[in-house]
Amino acid sequence: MHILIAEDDPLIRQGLTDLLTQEGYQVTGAEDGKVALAQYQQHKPQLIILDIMMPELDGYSVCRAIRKNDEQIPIIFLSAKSEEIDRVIGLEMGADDYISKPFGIREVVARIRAVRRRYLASQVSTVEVSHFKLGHWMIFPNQLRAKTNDGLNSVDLSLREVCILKQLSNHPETVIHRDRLFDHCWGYDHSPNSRTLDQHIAKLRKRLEPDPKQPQWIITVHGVGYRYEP
Amino acid sequence: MKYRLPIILVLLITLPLLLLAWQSYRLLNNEKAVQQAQFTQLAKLRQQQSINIIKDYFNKHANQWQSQIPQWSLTESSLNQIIHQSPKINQLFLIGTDKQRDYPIESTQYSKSTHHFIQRMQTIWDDPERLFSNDQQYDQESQTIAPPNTKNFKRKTSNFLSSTPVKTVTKNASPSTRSGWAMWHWESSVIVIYWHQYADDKIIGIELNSSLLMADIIALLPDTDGSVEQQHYVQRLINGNGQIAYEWGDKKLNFTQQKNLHSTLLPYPLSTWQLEYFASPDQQQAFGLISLLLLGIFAILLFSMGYYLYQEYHREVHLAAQRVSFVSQVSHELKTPLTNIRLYAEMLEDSLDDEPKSQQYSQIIVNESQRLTRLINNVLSFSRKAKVHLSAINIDEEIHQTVEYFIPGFKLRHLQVNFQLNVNQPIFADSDGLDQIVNNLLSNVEKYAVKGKQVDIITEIIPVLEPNSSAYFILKIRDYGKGITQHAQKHIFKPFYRVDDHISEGVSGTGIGLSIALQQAERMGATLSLTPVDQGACFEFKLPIKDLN
Amino acid sequence: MKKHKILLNLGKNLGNFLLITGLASFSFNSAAREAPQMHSKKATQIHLQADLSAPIMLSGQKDKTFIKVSLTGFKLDSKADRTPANIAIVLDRSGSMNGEKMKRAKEAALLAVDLLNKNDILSIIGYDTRVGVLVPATKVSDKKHIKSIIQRIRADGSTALFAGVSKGAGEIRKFLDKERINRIILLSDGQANQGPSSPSELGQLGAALSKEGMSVTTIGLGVGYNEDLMTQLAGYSDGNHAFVENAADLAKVFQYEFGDVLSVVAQDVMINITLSEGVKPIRLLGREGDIKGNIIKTRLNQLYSEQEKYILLEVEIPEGKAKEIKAVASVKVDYQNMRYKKREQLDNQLSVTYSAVAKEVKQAINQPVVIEATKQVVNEYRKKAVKLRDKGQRKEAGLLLSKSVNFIKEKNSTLDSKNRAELNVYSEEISNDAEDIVNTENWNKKRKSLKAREYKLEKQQKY
Repeated sequence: MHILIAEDDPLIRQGLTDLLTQEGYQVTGAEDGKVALAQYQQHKPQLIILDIMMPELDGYSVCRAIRKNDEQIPIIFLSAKSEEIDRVIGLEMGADDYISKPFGIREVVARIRAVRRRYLASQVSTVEVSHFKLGHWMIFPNQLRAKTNDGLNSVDLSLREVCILKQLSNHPETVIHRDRLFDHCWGYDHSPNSRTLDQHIAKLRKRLEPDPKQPQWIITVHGVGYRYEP
Repeated sequence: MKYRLPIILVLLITLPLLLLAWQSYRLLNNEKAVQQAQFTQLAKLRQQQSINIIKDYFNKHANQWQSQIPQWSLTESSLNQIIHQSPKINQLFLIGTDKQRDYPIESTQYSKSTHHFIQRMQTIWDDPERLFSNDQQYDQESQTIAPPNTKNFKRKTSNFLSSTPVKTVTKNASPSTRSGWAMWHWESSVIVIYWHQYADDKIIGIELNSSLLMADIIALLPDTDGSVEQQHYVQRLINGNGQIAYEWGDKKLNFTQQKNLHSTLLPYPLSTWQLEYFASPDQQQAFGLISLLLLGIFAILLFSMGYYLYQEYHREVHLAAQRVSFVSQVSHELKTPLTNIRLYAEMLEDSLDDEPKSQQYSQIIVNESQRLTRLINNVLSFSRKAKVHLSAINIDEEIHQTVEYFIPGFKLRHLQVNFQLNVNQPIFADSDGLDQIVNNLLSNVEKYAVKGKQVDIITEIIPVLEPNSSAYFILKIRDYGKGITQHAQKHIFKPFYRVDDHISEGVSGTGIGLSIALQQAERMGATLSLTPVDQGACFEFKLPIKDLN
Repeated sequence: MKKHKILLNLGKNLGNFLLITGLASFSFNSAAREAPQMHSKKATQIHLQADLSAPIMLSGQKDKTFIKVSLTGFKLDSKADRTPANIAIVLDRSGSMNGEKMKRAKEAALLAVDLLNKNDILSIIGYDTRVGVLVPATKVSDKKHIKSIIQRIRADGSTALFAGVSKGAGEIRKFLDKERINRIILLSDGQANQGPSSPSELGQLGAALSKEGMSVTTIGLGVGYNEDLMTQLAGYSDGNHAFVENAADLAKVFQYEFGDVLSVVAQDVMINITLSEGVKPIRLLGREGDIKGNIIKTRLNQLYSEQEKYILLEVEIPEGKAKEIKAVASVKVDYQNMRYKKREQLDNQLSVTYSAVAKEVKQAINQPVVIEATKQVVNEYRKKAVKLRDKGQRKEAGLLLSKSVNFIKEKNSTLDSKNRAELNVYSEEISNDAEDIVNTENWNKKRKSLKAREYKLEKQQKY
């Protein structure tokens, strides 16, 4: 999934890029409104994050220009001022959501996931990726969510996490090599720190395993990779 | 509210003005009344002067004739002679002891003037007693008629054309003789008779030459010479037919207004005549003008003062607005670095090993940046009232998320959060507003009630109890600290109020948290109040639930 | 119709007595009782002459005749002799006087000031809606001051004529003196519209003022004034009256008026005619008088130097035998001689001689008396004609005057040819009047002129 981030502050742009890349998205950054429109034309992203106050062309104008072409594409505004938000809502620009600065990573991730979910739900053409089982969780890839069978507990997942879980679930009781997971979920041209995978696994265990210290389903095979024990 | 100051200013200007106007109106009225009284007094005085002239004239002639008549020989030729020589006398008559006319002597051929005389005196020939028997008293003082009543005043028109003698006058001191005046109207002129009754009952009557009478009176009355004394008033003599006989006084004045008119009837025997007095309204106008001028000056002063105040106020407001704008500008500028601090701190935290110290440090950075965020948001919501955006939100989740940010800080202070979130349904609320309320309430707990060790976060729904009321969403945040004193309870929601006791000593704060929380609550149609509890403080947020449909 | 009959009858009567011939009977004024010297007496006394129009009457029948009592003032020796005057000039300063009239009136008043000297008393009264005593009665010593006041008069307002005259009288009264000539000179160009304003009221005032010893001269200016009112006021007070159509003539009229005023030689002239037994009074012509029984009283306010004033009394003389001389009347005149500042009396007896010879009767006829009598009789007709005209009976009025013309001509034919000129002129005047009275054109102006001439004749006014 391709996300376009239009934000004039380079640090915020960088931070968001890193964060969303980690989440498993393909990210393109733009430093002003004009560049954002050019990038939009070039890359045809599936989601756009727009800062309102930008040089050359502000977020509103960019939004309007994009909406002329595509009424469906999810757009999330970034805003520092409540007045701007008022305007976004008041003008009914077709924003799907907005995030007030300053924001935390969890907020951003949650909003993007929620918007994506809604977007996917509305897209009739989207192929329904079937859900799969992991431990006592049922994983719903399109919803980026894991639910227990009784439906009482639910956990939000990132795109990358779903990918990892899918690999594990598809090959139960088989050791999945670290490189394979990297290739599959990060891409070939990506060479992340090996710790990155471990951190993801740790995070998943924290949320899914009944006891993260004594994992039942996601087992570490030292020096090789991981194995799923159903 | 925007117009409060202008309204107050307008009131400040208009009220004293109205008061002043009212006062000066009253003063003017009083002055008018005083002037009216003075006018009436002056009018009476001046009219009395004129009346005295006329009175004296009649008295002089009465006296003159009273002494002359007894000396007259009553033969025809001597009476003829008297008429012939005396300018004042138009005609004479003599009534004998038998009540019959002795003079003018009965004849078949009267001269024209005698003929007319006999005609107009017919009533006397019929009954000579009428000269004096008609004994009605009349006031020595002339009757005065106040000007406003002039309308009601009607001349006794019956006297005009009737040939009845009106009345008779002074009885002589001597018992045997008496004399007096008699007057009546005949055709369009007045007949004035001086009569004298001899001891032997003979009556001699003198008909005055009415033209000369008039001319004499005119000659005696003042003329219009433009002397200072006569300025500002005019008088005129109105005869029994309502015609102006003579007019004098200030050249520039005319009998124009009824208002400054004063009428007085003349004394007998000209009692159907009137003296009218009219004074210049100049002085009154002058007073009115002066007071109007003063009022105007005062009004101008007040207005300029008001305008100055309004300008000053505007300047202040503008300055304040500039300050607020500056503060919010600065606050906004702070947001970008703050975003970065928080973003990167959280990302750092995520990528750190489970090494407890590093985790803790990054956590502190995250928490402090959040605190800074709250402060900035408070400042901003105080300087600008944001709009309310109501939407259906999962309120428990929303609250939980907000509280979650505090948990690390609470943990450090050994404060435990007890959740009792019982609302498992979407509620229409403003999520930013709710966030700010919870933030501010928990900030206070963090600041003032850490010693209570516990904080309860309770949500619940009160179902519809009465048919016409709605269901309510309730959020309670309760601590177990020192609580809030009775005195402070009244003020805690006021901006910039800080509970001034040992609890708040050394604790920093802006004093706007609760007032913002209350504001936010009210803006989404909810209430925020302090509910009494045994220990600590319990704030209750109560939001009527709107039907989601 | 009835009036015409009367006229014809009157004419016939007059004709009758004029046809009677008789001997002339002249009566001379007898000497004043107190006068010490004959010469000075004549020069400083009033000349009284009483005449009958027909001193010889046809015997055996009663007849009517006119008694003319004529008084002529003596000649003043020099200007210095003249009697000091007490004059009130009462000026109309109403709005209608504005402009030329006011200017001329001022000129006239200024002239008046010049004509007076420091022994005279002058007051100036201006009247409009109200009356101002502009110059209170004062000796004419500071002429400059008086003139400056006259110059300042402004015209405005309405016309309080009565009050103006009243004030004038008031000013005169301050120095009212039998040894002065007390005169109000009233100038008006408009109707009295403030205060008493009827001719009779003004007449009554005039009569009273006359008794007080004042006379009022009325000068009507332009064609807006009320000539009846003005003539009544002047007539009853025995003053003069003038119609000044053109304001430019005002000064001239003032000159005349002052000529009269300053030449008064006698005042308060009481004329007392006692008719002998059998002689009946019929009427006084011209002047008002009091007829009580056989005594006729009348009064002239003043006599001017070398001016004749007369009264005409028509009487009925009882029948007598030829050659009989019958006393007709005794005339007594009592007056204030202004030269000597004392009262003087004059008397005169009138008698008629009866003759059986008509020629004698005719020859005796006093032609000047007949002329005056004719003029006065016709003047009475003229008054009647004006009254008819006022009622709208224009034709009747014209007829009356035409008949009067015939009457004059008839009378004139009885006179010697050398005496006919005066009545010819008069008949001319009346026939003009007869034309005027029928026309509507300019009647207002003509009426004023007519009234003024009528007045002049009645009072034997010089100008």
